[in-house]
Amino acid sequence: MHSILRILARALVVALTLAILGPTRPVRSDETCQSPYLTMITSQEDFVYVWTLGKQGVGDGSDKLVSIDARPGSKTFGKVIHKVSVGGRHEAHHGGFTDDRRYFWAGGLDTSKIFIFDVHTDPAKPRLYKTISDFVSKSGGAVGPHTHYALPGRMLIAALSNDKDHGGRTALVEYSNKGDYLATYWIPTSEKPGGAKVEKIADGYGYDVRVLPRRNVMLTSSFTGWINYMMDFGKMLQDKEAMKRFGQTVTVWDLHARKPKKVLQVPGAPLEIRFALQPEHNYAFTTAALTSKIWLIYEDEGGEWQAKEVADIGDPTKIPLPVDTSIGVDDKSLWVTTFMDGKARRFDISDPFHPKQIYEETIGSQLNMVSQSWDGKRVYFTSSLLSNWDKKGEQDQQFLKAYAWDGQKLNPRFTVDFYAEQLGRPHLMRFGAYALYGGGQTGAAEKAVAKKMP
Amino acid sequence: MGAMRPEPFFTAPGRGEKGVALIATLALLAAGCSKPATQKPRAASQGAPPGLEYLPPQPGSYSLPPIQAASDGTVLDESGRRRRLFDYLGDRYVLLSFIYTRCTAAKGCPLATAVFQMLRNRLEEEPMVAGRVRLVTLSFDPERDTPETMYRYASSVGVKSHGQTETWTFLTTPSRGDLEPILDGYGQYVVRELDADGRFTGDRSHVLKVFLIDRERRVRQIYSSAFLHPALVINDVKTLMMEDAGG
Repeated sequence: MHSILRILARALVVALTLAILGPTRPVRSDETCQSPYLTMITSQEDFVYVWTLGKQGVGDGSDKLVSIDARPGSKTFGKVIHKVSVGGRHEAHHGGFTDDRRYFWAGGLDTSKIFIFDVHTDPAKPRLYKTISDFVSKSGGAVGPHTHYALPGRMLIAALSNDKDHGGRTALVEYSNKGDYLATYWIPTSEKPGGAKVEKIADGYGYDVRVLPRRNVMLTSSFTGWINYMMDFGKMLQDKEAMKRFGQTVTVWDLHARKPKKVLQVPGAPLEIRFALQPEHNYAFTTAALTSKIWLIYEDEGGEWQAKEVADIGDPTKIPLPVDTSIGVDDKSLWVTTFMDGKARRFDISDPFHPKQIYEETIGSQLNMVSQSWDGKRVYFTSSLLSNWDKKGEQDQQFLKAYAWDGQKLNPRFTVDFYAEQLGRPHLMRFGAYALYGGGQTGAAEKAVAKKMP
Repeated sequence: MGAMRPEPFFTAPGRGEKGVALIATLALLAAGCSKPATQKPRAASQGAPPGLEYLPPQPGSYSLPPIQAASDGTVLDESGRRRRLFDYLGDRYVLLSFIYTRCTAAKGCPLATAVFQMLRNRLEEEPMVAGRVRLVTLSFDPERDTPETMYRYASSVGVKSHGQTETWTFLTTPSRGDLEPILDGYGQYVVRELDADGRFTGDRSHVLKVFLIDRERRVRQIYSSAFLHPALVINDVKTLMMEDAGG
């Protein structure tokens, strides 16, 4: 038997080494920007799972989870190798893995249903394991499950709306990994700040949620409610009242207590939140969709969290509509995608207070999500934003495009045309890998995985 | 093979507060070496416990919703007696950790055991919680971690009571068949690592989870390596005590 003292001493030495070297250890892959509690892929991703909106007249017309083979050298590299429909259209949007990565939860913004896929029994072929249909009633009125964020043994869901007025006031909703409802935390409003310090206004809106456990900080951003996100995009742009109903806050929370501490003023619908990944960097980025700005959310020297507008994205007067971002593992680069012009822009964020655009490339007629590998060498893009906001006619291209980043430019690897493949509109991407489940998984999955390992 | 994402750096506790303070200090010094010009690194919040960069929320200022029912199963104590896991739950607040004694992962079993060691000392010093908390270390390697092995493991961390110490109990299971329902019940998944020829290496990959279980045998908190810290654990236990007392 090993001496426990020797093992403990070794653990401390390793921990100390990590403290000095930071996280630039030979971790080779997985996607950046995931929950820090998530089991991680340390070899190249085998699959890209794509949570896809159904479209009437395209294939079965249903929302579905699509598996794309991402293994170089595979006979089906860059091809669709599996799809599992959930039946009907629910406004498929975002999703996330449980912390052990055995299940993928995916939400429907319209019906508020949550679909839980088993991704461990056969990682190439997820199967629908369970559907949560009572999210609204269980949560006390939250509507539109958006971000699904892994906590240890739990899933934290940032909703977008509510069932009283279908506006933007909403909540964080916590579930156990088994799919049982646990708690609802309403986003603070000016009327009910919940103890939070309010910079200017507390709108109660929600969108994304991210955590920095090291500082016990959780951030939420703010978008708009069901009425707007289900409205025709052109019609909404002409509706002055509708255009007033967008989020203008980022809320800072006590992560452990789930209590709001401060409501920062960040106008223009701040969407995705991306924490810096280096251990001495206490800041995050978000982008405001309507004003086309990069915002830095940072902890100042006094320990107070602040928000600062730090850069334009393209020409804000042309409303490029930034929709997604992805941060590099060294905190030196940030991809920003803009829906209207279909561009991917890369910013140098070495100085987080002064990001500088260093590259741009038009990916398609419209563009939404971006995911990059841990080493930054593989970058994936999808095209769809919302069923009623996507472009129409020939401009309605629907694709997943994979690129290699060589340090200077994006080089195409493969494209999947989601209309030609009769799939629908691709939205969120997440990486999968056989290696996550080994060849000797304990429990019921063991035999299945061992049998299907390549 | 899956492993923990490195982002949530935790200054792993040593066998005493002095060790924690040393690591925390060195970590801060290391961080200072590479700070960006535009942002000075934040020092730990004033008054924060060693090894933690912030002040934990006050006990009773928050709630811990029940996450799931605790799971039962057949276990073996250090003397090899067959017991039920529930024999150790219900009368006290329980911290349950799954380990295997050969584990050397820095953020895995040694971390859990080191934190339990610190907790054992802290529990004796805290009048409010003394005698009301039990630490349970349960092996997920029944083939190698026999009751005798668990006894020696307990002895190596200063627990030599052969199962009679009420504060910290070391358990294993008779077989994998007995173990797997327990692991499944708690959601503690373990991958057996294989070599290039597909042979089991003896190592097991897992994500560290420690479960706080109340006296109604409900899981109330699940700690990862990112926040498994004695100060947070004790505040969570106190929060449950205040809830039980109607406070």
